[in-house]
Amino acid sequence: MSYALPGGDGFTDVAEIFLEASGDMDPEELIFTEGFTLYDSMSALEIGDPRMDSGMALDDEQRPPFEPLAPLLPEELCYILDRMIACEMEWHAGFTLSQTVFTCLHVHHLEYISPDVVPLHVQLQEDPVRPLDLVTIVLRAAVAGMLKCCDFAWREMSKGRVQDTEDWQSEKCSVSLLEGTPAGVVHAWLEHARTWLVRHAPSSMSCREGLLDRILLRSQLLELFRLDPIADRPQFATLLATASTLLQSIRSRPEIPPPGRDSAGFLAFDPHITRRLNSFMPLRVLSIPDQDTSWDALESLLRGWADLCDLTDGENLLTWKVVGDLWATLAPPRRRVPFLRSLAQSCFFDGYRIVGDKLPRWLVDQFFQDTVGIEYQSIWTTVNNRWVGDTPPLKDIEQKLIRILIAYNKSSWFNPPRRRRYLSRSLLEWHVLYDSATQLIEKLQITDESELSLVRAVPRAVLLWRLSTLRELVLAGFSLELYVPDERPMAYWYAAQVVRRHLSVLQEVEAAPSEALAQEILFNRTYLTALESMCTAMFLITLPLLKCDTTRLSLNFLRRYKWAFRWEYKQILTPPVLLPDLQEFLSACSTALENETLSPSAYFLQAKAALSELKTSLSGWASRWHTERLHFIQDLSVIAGLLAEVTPTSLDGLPTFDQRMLDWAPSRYRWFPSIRAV
Amino acid sequence: MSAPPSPSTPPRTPSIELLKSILRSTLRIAIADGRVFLGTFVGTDKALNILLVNADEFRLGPGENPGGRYVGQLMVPWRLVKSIEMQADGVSDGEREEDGQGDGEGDGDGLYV
Repeated sequence: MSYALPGGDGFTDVAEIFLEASGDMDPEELIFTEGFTLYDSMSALEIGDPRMDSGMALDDEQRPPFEPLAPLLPEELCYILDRMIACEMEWHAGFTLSQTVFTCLHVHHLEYISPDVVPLHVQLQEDPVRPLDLVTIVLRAAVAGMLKCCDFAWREMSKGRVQDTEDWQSEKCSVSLLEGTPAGVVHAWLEHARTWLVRHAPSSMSCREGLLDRILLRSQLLELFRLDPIADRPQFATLLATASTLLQSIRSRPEIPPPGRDSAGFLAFDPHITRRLNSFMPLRVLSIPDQDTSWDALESLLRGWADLCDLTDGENLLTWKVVGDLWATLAPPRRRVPFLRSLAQSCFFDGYRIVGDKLPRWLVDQFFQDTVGIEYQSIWTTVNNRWVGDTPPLKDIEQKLIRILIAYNKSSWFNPPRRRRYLSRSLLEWHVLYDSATQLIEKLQITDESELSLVRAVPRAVLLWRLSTLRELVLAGFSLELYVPDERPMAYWYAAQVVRRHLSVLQEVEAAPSEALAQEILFNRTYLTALESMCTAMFLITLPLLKCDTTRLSLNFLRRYKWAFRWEYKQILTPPVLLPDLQEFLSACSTALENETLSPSAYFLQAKAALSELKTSLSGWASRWHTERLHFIQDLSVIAGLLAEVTPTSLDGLPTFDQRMLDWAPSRYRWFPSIRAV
Repeated sequence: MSAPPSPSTPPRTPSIELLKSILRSTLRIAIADGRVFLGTFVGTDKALNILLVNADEFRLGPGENPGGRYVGQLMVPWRLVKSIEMQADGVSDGEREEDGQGDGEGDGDGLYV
């Protein structure tokens, strides 16, 4: 078959012109059109160079022409449906559509596999073991279902709460995700496919149950992507339960073996599809994980949805903070896919309401109730009664608090570097709020001790959040591998200072009326005590990493803690609490080295003992995520035990301590190195 | 591009003059692996590395991309060229885009025979 050349017929051969001119040109001569330079030419893609030419097909990548209506065995269809899920999960993991979902070639031929347009000659070639309806009814519905699911996910992620090209890839390469097709239509196709499998598929057809489960699973997924986890909560929970059951059912059956390389099932995917799609970047061919890994990913997505449903069902701000901080630290990747991270932010604040139907003022009430166990209304009444002058600036404090609490909770679902950047920026905002609260209570005329204690809780609550933000910020630097070796002692020393101050402020919180708050305070006291011991011990054992070059140390310090040197701090009346101080650190180093009683190993043992106490702790604000929090505590306890075994029992042993034993590569111990054999 | 360091020099022969006269024309270059590029000719060198800008890539065949895809600026080495043609007078880039072949978005139905 011959194909007309693009551009039409009005072309003439100019090969001779080129050849003759080439013969007359000097070896180094260039011919460019006016305004085009040698520099411009350097950015041209070289055709035929596999590193630059994304459209180039190597000889071993040649494949037969794709036939969208090629009949499929039920096993082949099962394989295609499973691999479609695998591709979809990889897109959710952050790869491009063209490397994943679009490698399914039926995506590009959806209009040709509609049952309404099948040519007569194809219908006449019906093969009893390969019913054409498997393609035109079942496969078409599944492909459309997958595209529509991607469309809903795309819409959520394009709200700007996760970063395009950083967290996820929005590039559609001009391929439709059925944006214009209502979900109801796709749902009807899936229902048609289900009906066909139940009523019209040959009774002897293999894999019928498996196909049915897969089609039903796709229907559930489509609904899950379409619905709002808050507004449609009851339906959402049912869909999640059904989807999980279907997934278990699919996984419990024997795995579908991959079809032969020449089969229509295998040829339904072209990993090199990117060379034919409009794309702005050269993309490598992606190796899609095996099916088991993909089912795990889907299971994690379902669990992530369930977590989100439970979170939105709760009534506590602190639960959002505890779970957000925990997940940001643990970062279980599959449960933190960008779609879920965006959805969590949308659920927390949709631009008007908090967690569905609450007014932003709810945040203020919850902030004081959950942090220090005091009702905001009583603070408001006392301040208004004791204020001298016009109106107390409570509205201003409320607005600042609402703004920062929304941003903080959303930041827990940012990617780790963005979250850390946000935390560093937010410290000033917390301090401004702390200053406003401090100034407020100074202007009150209060003599009654109980009233005084009530209003003092306002700056104290703000300070607790600021100290927790500081701790997260400093320790996140270890997870992100930001610190060079001679920055580590300072980071651990500073983290220990922050934790110590946090503990002392926590001591000032009086007996909490709420049971959950009392449990949370108790948990935090023990946890922070352990953390302080571990950070102090790490400060001591990393001291030998500190180089004597004070200029370098000072420059590193200014760069790493630049958030502490913002000029705005000088404009604020109240001095900031616990800004990092290099001189103080250096004198702490001298003092520590002179103290012969310090024992890194003993600090780790103390930490391990404290962390062991937490095994029996109650849930506090962690609510149903307490088990996950305990897993994290268990990891800390393990590394504290391991470090206690290898670190010196006194500072005398520090010079001979082999630093190579500390493995600083990211590990499950997050903020602490793991141990390696030397 | 195997680019020599010196800048362009004035044409010395009619053949070079003729080649310069077709700069900024639309070229259609077919290469050995079956692809066809349609773009504006902006430069070359003695080795005949051909520079096109505003170029589209087309693949001919069933299931391929008859609508083309925009690839921008590219360089085609002469060793890959199977045929090189120039569009006849009077058809500008703008008109090519109106034909649906300038941006890779065209339906391309008319390309098959």
